[in-house]
Amino acid sequence: MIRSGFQIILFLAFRGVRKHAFSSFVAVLTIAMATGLFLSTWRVNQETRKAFNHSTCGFDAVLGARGSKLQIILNSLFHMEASPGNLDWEQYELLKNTPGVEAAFPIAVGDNYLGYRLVGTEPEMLESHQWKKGSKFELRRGGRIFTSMAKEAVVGSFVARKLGLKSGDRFHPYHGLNFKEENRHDDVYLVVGVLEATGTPADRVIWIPIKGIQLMEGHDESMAQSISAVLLKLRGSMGFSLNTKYNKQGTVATLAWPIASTLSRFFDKFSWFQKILELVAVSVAVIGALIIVLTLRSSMNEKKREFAILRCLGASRGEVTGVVLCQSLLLSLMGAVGGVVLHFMINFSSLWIIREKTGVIFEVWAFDPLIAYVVSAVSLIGLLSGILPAVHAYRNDLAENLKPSV
Amino acid sequence: MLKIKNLKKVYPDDSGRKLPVVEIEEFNLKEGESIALYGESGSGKTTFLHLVAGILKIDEGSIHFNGLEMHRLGEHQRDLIRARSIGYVFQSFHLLQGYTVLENLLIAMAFAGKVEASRAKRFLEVVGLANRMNHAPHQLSVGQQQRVALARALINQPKLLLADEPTGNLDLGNASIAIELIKELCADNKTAMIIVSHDPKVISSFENKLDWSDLNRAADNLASL
Repeated sequence: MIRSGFQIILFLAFRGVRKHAFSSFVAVLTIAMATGLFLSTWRVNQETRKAFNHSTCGFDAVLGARGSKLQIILNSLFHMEASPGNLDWEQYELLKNTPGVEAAFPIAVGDNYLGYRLVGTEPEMLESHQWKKGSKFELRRGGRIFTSMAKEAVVGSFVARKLGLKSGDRFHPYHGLNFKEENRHDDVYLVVGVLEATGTPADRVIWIPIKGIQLMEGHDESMAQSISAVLLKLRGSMGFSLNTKYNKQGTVATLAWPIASTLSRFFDKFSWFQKILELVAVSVAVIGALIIVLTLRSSMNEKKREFAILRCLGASRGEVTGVVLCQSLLLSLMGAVGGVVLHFMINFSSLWIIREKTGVIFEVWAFDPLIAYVVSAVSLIGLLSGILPAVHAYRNDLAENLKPSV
Repeated sequence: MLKIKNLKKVYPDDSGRKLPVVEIEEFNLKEGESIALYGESGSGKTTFLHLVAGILKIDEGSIHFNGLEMHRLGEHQRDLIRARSIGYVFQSFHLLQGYTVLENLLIAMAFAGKVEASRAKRFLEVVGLANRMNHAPHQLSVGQQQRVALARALINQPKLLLADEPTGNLDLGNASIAIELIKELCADNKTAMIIVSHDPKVISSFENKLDWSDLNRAADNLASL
């Protein structure tokens, strides 16, 4: 309902938007796309970085074969990529007994079940290690951890859901990290437990005893004393000592430490892509602002008479100017809000893709102060784009525009 | 209620020379009084109405309206007075096209600071448009549009109604209906009225009438241009 004061300005502005529904829709859509693209580019990047840093399952470092730190981390913690090579069992024993090493767990990879990796480790890792401060791995009701010498498996929650595996099921592992039907091992594994979801890559693998990988039927005998990597939990400044020992003085193994900075460098490699997307978003925002200007400008000739009538009815210059500014603000605000919704949709899709590919999940729905800043900035841009048409409305010659049209 | 003295409005002509358009020595109108002005087109009648309404600023002289010195007021104050105390009806109605009949009235009420939908609806009943209140102006006949314009001009119970050729676009039958309605509504509300027309029938229906060229000293100059 129409009311006096600011409400009449808002009412007239809203009607102005509605009257030019198509051009208003195009302006709102363009701004929404720009806002959505900008916000989602920034937030997916930030949240992914954060999520990857929190998905290291509580480990501080990883010792792997001589090679790339990033490859070691991706292979051992995120269960992606191939292993750069193997380490001797002695390396693990040595680290395990090193003062300053709080915990060390060997892992071995090389087999899969229907495309999901089998990761061999010691049962203690699933029993006692805290994958997050204060959180140990938990099993679904009725499950238990495998015993170190048995052909038993504990399935990550994601794999269990995807393959429908449950306690009591049996399966044949397949050789290699990628599923090929002809590479089936004769060994049969019994599922003895399913892990509760952790939102980490641990959900995407099938855990078996390390001896299972080492002694799998068909594996080379040399594998019996080999491991892929050692996951480490360190005390104090042990990371510096081990870094010097393995990376600066050693030639056999590589210590991926600190994990966060290695991952950060990895993400930085894609920062140019983020910059390009941000540039595209800003360009689209500018186009959106120009569309607002054009929408308002093109309707201004038609509006001249309407404004003159409003003035004649008692509207002040300020109120008429306010209608134009309010209209541009409405367009940009609707675009900004649409953009926020769009960014949540993009984030949700990204979350789904990243979870499918890595098992890592990130926060989609959390409110980020950036949203408020971007909405304010986009609204301000909209308001600024309304200034020129508003000045036009302000200078409208009242008497001239009240003349009967010829 | 309306007292005008030594009113002058000039416009620059093509050569930049200031040309008087309105030059009135004295003009008075009492509360509830009506006067019909007639004269040639282009002789400054509309400019005069714009000056009285505060749409244009005077160059010389004074306009006292309802105890206020209009010529000393700023534009915003004149806008407020126009919203609350002056109704204006035009030949081409000047209805807001993107809005319904009822909204046209409510918008006028909003600028006067007193929106009452029930009163607007009652007023539309009075002018015989109760069943058209949710129609757009373009869906109405010319006569109906004129009634909407009249209702909008009078909805805020103004002290003064300015009517600039209000029947100019109406046929003979509708013209006389419109004039009767204008008179009736103004009388009910004790609204004074200045009506400008070149229709002899309209003029003759008013007791108080005045030849514009007798009132405006500049009218002859303009007519001779």
